[in-house]
Amino acid sequence: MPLVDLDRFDFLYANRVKGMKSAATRDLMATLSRPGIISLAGGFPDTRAFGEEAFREISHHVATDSAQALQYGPTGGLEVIKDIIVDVMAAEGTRASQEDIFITTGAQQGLDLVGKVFLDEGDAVLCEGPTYAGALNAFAAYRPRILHVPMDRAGMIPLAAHEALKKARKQGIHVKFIYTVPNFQNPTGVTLAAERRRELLEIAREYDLIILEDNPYGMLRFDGEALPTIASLEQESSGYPDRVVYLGTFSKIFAPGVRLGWVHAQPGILHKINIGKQGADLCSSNLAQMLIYSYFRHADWHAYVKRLTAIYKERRDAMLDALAEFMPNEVHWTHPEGGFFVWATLPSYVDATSMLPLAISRNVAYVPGEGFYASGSGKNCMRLNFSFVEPQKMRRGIELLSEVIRERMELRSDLERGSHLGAQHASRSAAVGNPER
Amino acid sequence: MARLVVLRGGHSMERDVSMVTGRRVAHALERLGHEVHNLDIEENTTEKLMELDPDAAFVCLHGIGGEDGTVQALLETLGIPYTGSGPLSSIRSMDKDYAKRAMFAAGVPTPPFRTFLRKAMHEMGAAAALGPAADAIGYPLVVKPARQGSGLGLTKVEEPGALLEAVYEAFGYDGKILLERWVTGTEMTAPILEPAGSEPRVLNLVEVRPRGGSYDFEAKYTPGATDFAIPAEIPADAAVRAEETALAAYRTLGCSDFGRIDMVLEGGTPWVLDANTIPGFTETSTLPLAAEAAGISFEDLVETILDAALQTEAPAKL
Repeated sequence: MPLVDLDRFDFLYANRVKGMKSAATRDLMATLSRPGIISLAGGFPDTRAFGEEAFREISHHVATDSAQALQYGPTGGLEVIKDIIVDVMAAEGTRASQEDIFITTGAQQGLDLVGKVFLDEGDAVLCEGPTYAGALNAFAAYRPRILHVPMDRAGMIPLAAHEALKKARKQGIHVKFIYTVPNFQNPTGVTLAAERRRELLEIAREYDLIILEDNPYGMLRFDGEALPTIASLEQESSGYPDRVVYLGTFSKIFAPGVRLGWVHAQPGILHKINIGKQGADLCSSNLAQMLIYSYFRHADWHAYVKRLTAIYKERRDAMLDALAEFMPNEVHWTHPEGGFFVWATLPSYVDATSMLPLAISRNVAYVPGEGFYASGSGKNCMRLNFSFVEPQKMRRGIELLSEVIRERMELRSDLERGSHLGAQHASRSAAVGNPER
Repeated sequence: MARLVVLRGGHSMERDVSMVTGRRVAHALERLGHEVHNLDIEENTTEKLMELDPDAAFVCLHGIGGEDGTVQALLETLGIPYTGSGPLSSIRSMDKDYAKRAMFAAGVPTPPFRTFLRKAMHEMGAAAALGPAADAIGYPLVVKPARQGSGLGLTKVEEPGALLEAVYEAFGYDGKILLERWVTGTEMTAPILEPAGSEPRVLNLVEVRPRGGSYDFEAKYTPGATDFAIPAEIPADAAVRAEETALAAYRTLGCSDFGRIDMVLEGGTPWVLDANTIPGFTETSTLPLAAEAAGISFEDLVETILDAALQTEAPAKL
């Protein structure tokens, strides 16, 4: 047995999966399951808030029509669920009609289907820098170029987006769409300012692009006024959905376990998405759709979202307070008005990826920033999740994390102090052999 | 039939790998007809061990806490026979600084190195010695944490300008790091088995050929990312020398039952880089693959190691 080949079908795999690898940091994430660790690395809603009784009740409703719940459904989803979605979108100020709604298995499938429908290899996607890592993963199968547009406190900078598009056009790169998470973005928690939403729409019109508006967190607002969705701005100005493809989800306002999201777009685009979904999974689960229908028709879902929002707000406050109390002055972070995440920026020399093992050994975890860029930037950044950790634990978690960061900063200064001496030492040795002496 | 505990999981970076090792070993032990209890490392692990009072513990932990003598010392205290090396041998092998010093003293070839401690960096300005130490070793060199497995935190440094970053990275994994001369050549690993009452022997020399160029964490645990040649395709005299060297390292460190010695063959010299007292038992691990190539099934391998742990007349482990 001269050569042992552990994966003997290697020569058969498609090129697209060869580039996909599991990062070492991802493997480290497995250690997060161990007891005692405070994980600020998740992105989970707190489904414990829903309760057994409420679940039993909606299941009971679904049981009365078990035959349909257990059956295949239409590719685009059940009609009844679309009515619910019209209500949910209206609650966020977006007018929608049934025929513009298409059900997907989580908004994540929406990302995949939009990628499938629009992207050929080498096409480009303009997105925030940093952006949602799951979107990068979904697009990656279609092998596009990812053009990150810098952000500030008000989200993606339109001028920079404009510049990037101009440059791409000059280089002959075909940009197909702009991807944005406008509200409490994953990973930064930053919200795209209302004026910029209009500007982005204008830019998309100028360059004749699609805007993919991914809005999972919009309803989870703690402070301030809700801003109009880009989809609603488009309808306001042109009267109908055109170039904005809007992704919604029940994951954050109900539960991710039902895996149900939707695409809201004009019929032409939905037709293509429909074809894509037929190949992917035929239809989303009837059972999941009926569970949601049952809940949203018979229970006070507004009150539930309000309850969730109150829980998350308390946790956001706990995180921001703890950050202010414990973090070194050189660390900066965002102040989200809603959603799940805070984005922290460390001194440029602190690599959050290589710091993770130390943090985990001290019982605290986060997601290193570089996974949110296709380019490998963001090494000195981290995403911190507040939705899933109780306030007391959160405070302790941030305290531990601050200690780890301080330690890394201190090591750096020890090393630099030393290397300075080292340099002097080297020059002194060199001077010994200097012929001028 | 014996009542056995399989210890797996733990708190180290290699928790995932340990879970896989543990699962495979537990299945094999069950197929062999033993009563198997799986235990993770938790606050009440000792209590559970005392309650179960097993005939032996099969230690499937990797890295800090499991492979460094911590668990082994506890098991001795509890009077529970266990698989693999004793506490002193474990810590000596886990800590590359200790291992290399012992091997160096015993004449086992191991690349020249310098050790740095975080404490000395902070309290004694030891960073000033980094440059001179690197110059003495020569470039390229490798910077690695002393007590971390699977290539985590390891960087090859080609020139002085990249030294500081590599040191900074390695200290993320451990408070003790090594600068070591980079050796170029055939990467090999020597899985060793020491059945009850017999001398240790190298099962097979395994040549490691990572497709991406480096045998890092990913290459180790991704099926297909690495090719292995079993036995290693090297000249016969080099193979003999490599096996002798691996066994010398195993004995020098005082290992018991089984182990794995990692080497690089450079110009006829098998340089020992690392010793593992609990190598992996995963589908892509070299110990079970080498055993299979030597005609020993996975079950037989597991049974042999268990027998060695259970033999009562054996001398005390180091």
